Amino acid sequence: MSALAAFFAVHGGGYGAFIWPAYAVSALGLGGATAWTLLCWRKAKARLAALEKP
Amino acid sequence: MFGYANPTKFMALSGALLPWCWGLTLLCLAGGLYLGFAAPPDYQQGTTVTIMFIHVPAAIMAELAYAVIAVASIFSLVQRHILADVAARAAAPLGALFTALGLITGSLWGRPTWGAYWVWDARLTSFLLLLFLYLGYMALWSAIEDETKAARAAAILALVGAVNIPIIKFSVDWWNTLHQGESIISGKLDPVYLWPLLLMAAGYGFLFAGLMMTRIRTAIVERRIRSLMQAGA
Repeated sequence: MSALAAFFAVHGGGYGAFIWPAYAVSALGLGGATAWTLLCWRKAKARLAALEKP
Repeated sequence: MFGYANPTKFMALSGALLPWCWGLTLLCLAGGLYLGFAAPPDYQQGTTVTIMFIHVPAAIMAELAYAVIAVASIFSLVQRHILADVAARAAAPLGALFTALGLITGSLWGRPTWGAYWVWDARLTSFLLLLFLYLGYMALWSAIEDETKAARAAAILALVGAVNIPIIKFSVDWWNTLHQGESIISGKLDPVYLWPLLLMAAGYGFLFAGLMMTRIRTAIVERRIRSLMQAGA
């Protein structure tokens, strides 16, 4: 049995219906917050650079 | 420490610290996830124990973010320092996010463990109250146009709400709750679960620090933009 198949045999079973949504929501929330924060920073920096251009 | 409360110095220091924060976040989360999923199923909870590695760090960061807001609020009220207001405001959405994640992951852990997604016990209810405090705090900031008045009102609300933090922490000792008691400091947690949990908590901590610094940097740049626009108008 491959390592991946062994992994899903343990974590994909009965409780997988609770484990994976919990990880998915966390990844989505934290990933989304990181992307949004960095996007706002880049936008603000670009706007300031445009204003400070002589 | 107060020297770095100067926006120029903060921008320089945070610029140097941020790459380390992002790097340590990735390293800790990767290590925590690897060790967490390699850990054997718990004898009682089975594989649902893996939810602990994302639920507990989210809950810790939710409370820590509120503590950051409360401390910044004291500096805001006492010293009227502009960076204290910026820091408190920057931490609020992050704290709300961690609280929401703590509630959702806790609910998904509760169903297979307790047989219910939600129970109105002291820990869960006080934690839900924390989410409402965050939402109220952010709403108050948005509702008052004058930034100085908004900062003052929000700081008072944050300090009044800070009483909820020890209630959350000790709710499992003060009342009979379904939620399990403290098991990290007391050493009840087996090292096979403790290490991935500590790594995940460190990862969440570095992520919070990175996001918080970036949000403060954005707010400082936005203030500069506003002052430039006002000067040009």
